[in-house]
Amino acid sequence: MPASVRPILGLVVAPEPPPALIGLLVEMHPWCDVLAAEPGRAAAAWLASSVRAPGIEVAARSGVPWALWVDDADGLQRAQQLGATLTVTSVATIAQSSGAILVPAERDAAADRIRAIPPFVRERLRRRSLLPSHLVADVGAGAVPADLIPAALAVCSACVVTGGLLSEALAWGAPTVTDAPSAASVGAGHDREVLVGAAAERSGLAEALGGDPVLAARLSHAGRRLAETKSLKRVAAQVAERLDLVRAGDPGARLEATLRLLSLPASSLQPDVGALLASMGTPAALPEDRR
Amino acid sequence: MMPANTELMMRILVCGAQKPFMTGGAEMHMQNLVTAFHEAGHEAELVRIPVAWERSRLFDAALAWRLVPLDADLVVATNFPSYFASHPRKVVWLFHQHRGAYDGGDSAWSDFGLDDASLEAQRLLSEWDGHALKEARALFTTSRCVAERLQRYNGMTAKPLYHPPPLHDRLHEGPFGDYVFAPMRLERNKRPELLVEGLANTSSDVKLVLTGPGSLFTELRATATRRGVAGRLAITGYLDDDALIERFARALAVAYAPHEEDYGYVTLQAFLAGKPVITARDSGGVLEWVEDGVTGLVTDGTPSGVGAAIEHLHHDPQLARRMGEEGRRRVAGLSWPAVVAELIAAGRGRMRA
Repeated sequence: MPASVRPILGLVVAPEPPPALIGLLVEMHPWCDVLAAEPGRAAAAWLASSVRAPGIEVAARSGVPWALWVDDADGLQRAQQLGATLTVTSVATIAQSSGAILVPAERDAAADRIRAIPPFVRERLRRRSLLPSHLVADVGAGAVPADLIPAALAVCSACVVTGGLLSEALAWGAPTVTDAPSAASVGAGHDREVLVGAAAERSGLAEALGGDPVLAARLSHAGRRLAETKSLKRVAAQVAERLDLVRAGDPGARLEATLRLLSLPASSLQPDVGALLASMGTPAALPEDRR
Repeated sequence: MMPANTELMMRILVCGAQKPFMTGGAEMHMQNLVTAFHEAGHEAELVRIPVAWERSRLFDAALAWRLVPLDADLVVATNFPSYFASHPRKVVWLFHQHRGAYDGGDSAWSDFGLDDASLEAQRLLSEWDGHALKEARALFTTSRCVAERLQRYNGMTAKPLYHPPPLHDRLHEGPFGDYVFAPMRLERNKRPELLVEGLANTSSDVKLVLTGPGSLFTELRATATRRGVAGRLAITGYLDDDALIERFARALAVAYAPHEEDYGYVTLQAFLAGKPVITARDSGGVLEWVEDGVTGLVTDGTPSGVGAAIEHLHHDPQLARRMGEEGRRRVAGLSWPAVVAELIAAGRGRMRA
């Protein structure tokens, strides 16, 4: 069988590349080989690290998809002039205003690792586990022991979370109530990805949120999408898709890449959920049949 | 009819799932959409891939759609799992998702339980649906009912886009006869047995005419005999279009009370024939059209409730006429050109954020 032909992402890099670029390039590995631009080198797509990168015109005139890293308004304007296929940035405000893909500066392990559970599956999980149908977890109040926090975030109807755990709660798809500083720290907005409330009202907000399936589903969905933007794996997949690197691969590789784009996990909830439920002292898994 | 500017003509692929050897509303819907694109001057074809609904094969057809090369200016995906089609100009007009995994998860007909495999399949499907639907330039649904399910289970917003039913240009009013007409597939989800039991709860000589193919024919006939109403029940089997139109036109009313219907052509067809509709409060999309006491009667879904509604209209045909007229007025604005214009505009529009 012939060796698999991997697409090449040609890299046009300025002397001082943005720090976040390195993390992105590492995560591009499943999709392509990243090679520095050289005279005569063909590439399936190009990535230029700056408008000042020498040789950027090569990418612009290549006739294949190309991305430009922009971290200021001038760069954005130049990207439009040069006809970049997409823009990537490490500046949140540029991403929000222009549609550029935001590359997180640091790896968020929770965002890469956790597989979200939407509210309607949570409800079924609770039912199967003989947990209360309405289960609000006030994680910030210390009512949940530290080792049970993941389980609480995975199965709750709604939760109150502040500080560093907010990213994890969003990654789990938990309908979440938080405080303003925490929301701002992850770029979440009130009634968009979370509900924001003062300390005295957060518990009440969470009770109401847990009983409102439509609002819970909307916040959970938006929260998961926000969490994905912190996942370098997801961001790399998005860049690969927009640069058409999936199509550029050979036919065999395309199948695998298609699955990866859909985030097909290598394993199911087991043993994750089994371990979670066991840690909560809930009954073992029911036989695989109907209730 | 060609678009005024031939440069505006698009090559469009309508994508839909195929359940082999089954034909129903979804199949008519897809074909009529293709016809509507043709009539608007576009080049359009229907692409279908077989689907299996059982949990163990849940993702097979979704993956197939993901890999199908769709070379066209615009792709309009319709039902699960055709919206997994990948295309830069994808517009989704959602007929329904995988109902057994979502709103039907606790139904007797769903093979999703509370075991690990079921929960993981539902979790994963929700994630996949979120990705596949988010890719679309625009997300429409056939009805508010389908949009509300999408909100409740996926947290996503969609716009209902209503369309006329088959035979919309041929259905007409007629005299109010002595029978309640009930065209449907004779299967459990359509609940024809509820109508037969409803008939058994009437004491007048009103009749019920059930029309359509299905597996429950023998069972329904036996129920009617057991309940003493066999003489007032006709089960006609398949009717051709002309016969169907005449049955609509001469009915006293139409009864249609499926469980959580996505849209329900029967309702719209009844209104186009000027007939009120008897339905149930859990009939889903039907309730977007049937307003209790205005365009029909919304029952509690029990045989006695359905029977009372039938008797009510039987004894007051003027009320049936007034409701039918109001129903006809409410569906008068439905048109395929309006649907085509909306889908085309969405396809030409910007990507979703």
